[in-house]
Amino acid sequence: MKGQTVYRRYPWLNSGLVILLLLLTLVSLRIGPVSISTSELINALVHSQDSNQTLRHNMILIELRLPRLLLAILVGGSLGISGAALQGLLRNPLAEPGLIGVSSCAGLGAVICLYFGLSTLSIWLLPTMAMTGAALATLLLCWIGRHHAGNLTLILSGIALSSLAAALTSLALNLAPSPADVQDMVLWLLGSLNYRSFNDIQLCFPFVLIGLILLMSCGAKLDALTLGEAEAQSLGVNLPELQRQIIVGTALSVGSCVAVTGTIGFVGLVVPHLLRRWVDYHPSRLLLSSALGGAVLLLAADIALRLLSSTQEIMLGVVTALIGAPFFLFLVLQQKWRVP
Amino acid sequence: MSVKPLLSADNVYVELQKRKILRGISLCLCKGELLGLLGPNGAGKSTLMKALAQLLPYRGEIRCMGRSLQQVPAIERARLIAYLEQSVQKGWPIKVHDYVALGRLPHRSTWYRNMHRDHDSKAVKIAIEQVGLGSLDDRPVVELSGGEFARVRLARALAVQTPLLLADEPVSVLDPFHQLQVMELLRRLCCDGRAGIVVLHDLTLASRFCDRLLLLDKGRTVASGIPRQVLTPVNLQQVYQVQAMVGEHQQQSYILPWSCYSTESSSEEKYR
Amino acid sequence: MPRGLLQISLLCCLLSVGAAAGQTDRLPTIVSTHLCADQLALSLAAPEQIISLSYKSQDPKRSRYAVSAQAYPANRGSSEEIIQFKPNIVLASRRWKNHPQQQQFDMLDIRVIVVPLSNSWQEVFVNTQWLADQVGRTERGHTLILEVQRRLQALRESESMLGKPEKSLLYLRPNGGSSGEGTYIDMIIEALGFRNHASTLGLKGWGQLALENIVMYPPDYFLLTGHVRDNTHGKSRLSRHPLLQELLDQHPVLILPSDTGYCADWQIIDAAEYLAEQMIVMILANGKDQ
Repeated sequence: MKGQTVYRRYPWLNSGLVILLLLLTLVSLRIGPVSISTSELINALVHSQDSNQTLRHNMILIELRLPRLLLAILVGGSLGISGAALQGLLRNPLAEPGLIGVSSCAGLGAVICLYFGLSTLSIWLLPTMAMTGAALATLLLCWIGRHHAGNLTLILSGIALSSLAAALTSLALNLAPSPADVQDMVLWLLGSLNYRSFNDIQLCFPFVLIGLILLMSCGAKLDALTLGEAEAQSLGVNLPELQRQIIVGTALSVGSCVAVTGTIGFVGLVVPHLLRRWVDYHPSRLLLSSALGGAVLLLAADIALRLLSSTQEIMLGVVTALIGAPFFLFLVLQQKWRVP
Repeated sequence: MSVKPLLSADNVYVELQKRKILRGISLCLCKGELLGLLGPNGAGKSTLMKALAQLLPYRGEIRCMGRSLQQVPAIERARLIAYLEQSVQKGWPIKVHDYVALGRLPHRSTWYRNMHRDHDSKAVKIAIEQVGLGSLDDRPVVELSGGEFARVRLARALAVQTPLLLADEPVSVLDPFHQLQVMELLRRLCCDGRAGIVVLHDLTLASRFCDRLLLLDKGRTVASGIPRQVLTPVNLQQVYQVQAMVGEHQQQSYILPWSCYSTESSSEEKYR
Repeated sequence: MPRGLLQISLLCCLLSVGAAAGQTDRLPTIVSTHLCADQLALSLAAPEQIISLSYKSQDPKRSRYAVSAQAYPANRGSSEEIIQFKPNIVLASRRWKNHPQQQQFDMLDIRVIVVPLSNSWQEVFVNTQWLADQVGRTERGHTLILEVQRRLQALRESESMLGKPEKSLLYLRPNGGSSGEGTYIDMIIEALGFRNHASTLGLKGWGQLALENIVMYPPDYFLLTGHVRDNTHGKSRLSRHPLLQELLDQHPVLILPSDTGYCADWQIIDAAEYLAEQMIVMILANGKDQ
């Protein structure tokens, strides 16, 4: 049947992405200032106690390269799936956590927490504040989406919100009782994976996991939204509940990632858009594929920047923006004839 | 009638942004019936349809098979009532087949997406063939013409296979052939044991294909009953402000709006 | 405060009081606009020569000379202040030299001297003498240099006592910054008799080191610093990494509380002596095998 050929292409896409992710994982473990060959790598993982050298290789792999790798996958996956879910919810290919201000509001929450000494009260306060920032931004956008339901209005409000959050972040860093200089602001606004440890992963992993589960489980409802809000509701979709689910899911996953890495833009925009045609434009199928694709893209960007950086580290957000911004422009130009 | 009604509405009031849209509408629909909903623009037809589909807050009582619809869980309600909105944007460019298959969502659980797959694909296939779109199966919906898309949407609503169908102007963008095709289809479905409420602007189609009509104006019921009783020259003049030409062909009456009844108030209507 | 510093300050006061009577009217007056210049002015010039010092030198958190600096009016380095003070010489940093009011200073016959930074002990001696000549205190410069050379010699002689031939030391800032050859940090490391581990890892001048390299090739000793600007959350990630914390637990660590207080001039000897004292304490505490 014609319909059934459609169902076959989609699992192939996901297996392809998983294979790509595994390949990039190997590459990512190989790359670093200290060169470790593949045989040394295996040796370091299997017989780590054999010699001083394998022990040090093991330390580098497990405590430096592995957290970075895992975090790239977690953050990329979160950004990809949140982008797909937000685009499905708002039925707008331009919705993306970075572009519409969710990431920058999360960054603002994290900065307030860090620089005003709140993070010393409890380590969980940092992700909590970041997630609150992300949730407030998403909530505001949903409210705008409901009351001034225009794609353009929504995107413009998102950009305004994003700029406002960036300005407030700079202000917070300026006014912070502990000194924070320009470079630290840039670090926050551009995001980085450098020198993250398992402590950081521990901090964001539980929230990312809950967020991913929440987002993954709203696939069928997003499909129904293709029919418009009223008809989707007539199919049994509880729209306010779906909105809540996506807001909380995005806030949890993106918020907690931003708390650890700073804001990283464009992944959530580019990935769902690249993959959409491969899943025949089904919002539900796009979710898992975008999570995998986001992880692949962010890991590839991280590998690229490590290959390109010499002594000064290139910021991850710069690399994703370098890929994302031209793509965004292309998207806008292509959209011109479609949006009335 | 002694038959237990499939759907009944009792004194339904709807207020949106402090404007009274519906002021006490009651109706009753039995199995096998096709009810036509008529009225000029802004009479509250679409609002009534949304209230019946539980998409709006309302006062009054709407019951389906004797149960108050407000107490029925959303997913169960979705298997009782299919709702077709007046017009929607095309959204994502998914294929016709996939679009129609979305109508099967209430019959699936979220986690097992392919449950009842054979049953589902059969329902989808039937629905597509019913609206005469078999050849467009693989086309993305964004590439369809307005009329084709309207039929795809109807197929989507049919694919839910509910006992009750609420269709808001399903034929207004169709060409004459497809208008007749769709109306004949709805008529046939109702004869097969389903029931439907259709919002129509075409008085002839309403009088030929509907069992009963409900004529609304300014949120109130003006007339209800069999077409002959509702579409009287007086009602047409009062509600639509037109004078109609009424004729008969093959023992069925046709009604053709011919001239504006009150030039003064109709121009007022135009510029409101 | 290191011992040597007190000695120098005392010496400086005695000398200047003695020389004051004959020299004051001929010596040029000085306004200093930079912390390092302040400290050089205090150590080289006669007290009467100094009209004003920068406000930073009066802040005990930044300046090791806060008490003696508080005897003079403070300035914030603005041209207006300079013109008001009308000194013969302005001591300034290289950045300050690009001041837009340069022409006005020329008209008022105010000479701007950029305080030279030294990247080796030899440069320290040359630069100190040069600056002493500029402010008309050649003799004082000579005395100071001899004093520093004596202290440097004393440090080098104590090397064997400290028992650290060929041990390596890595200077590390919280952001991963370090310094190889040709920096004042390298001068300290050399004075203490260590091998500069940053140079071994291929760093020349100031730069960044990757944590991977430090883990792979760890030094024998670490030298950490409390550089205020490095302690922001984003920049101090490397220092918070558990792997580095582990390394710091396993290796002896020397600490330079605030390396902004030490300028790249003769005062480096103070820093070196300060660290040598730390080493002695450490060795006494841990036994000699350390």
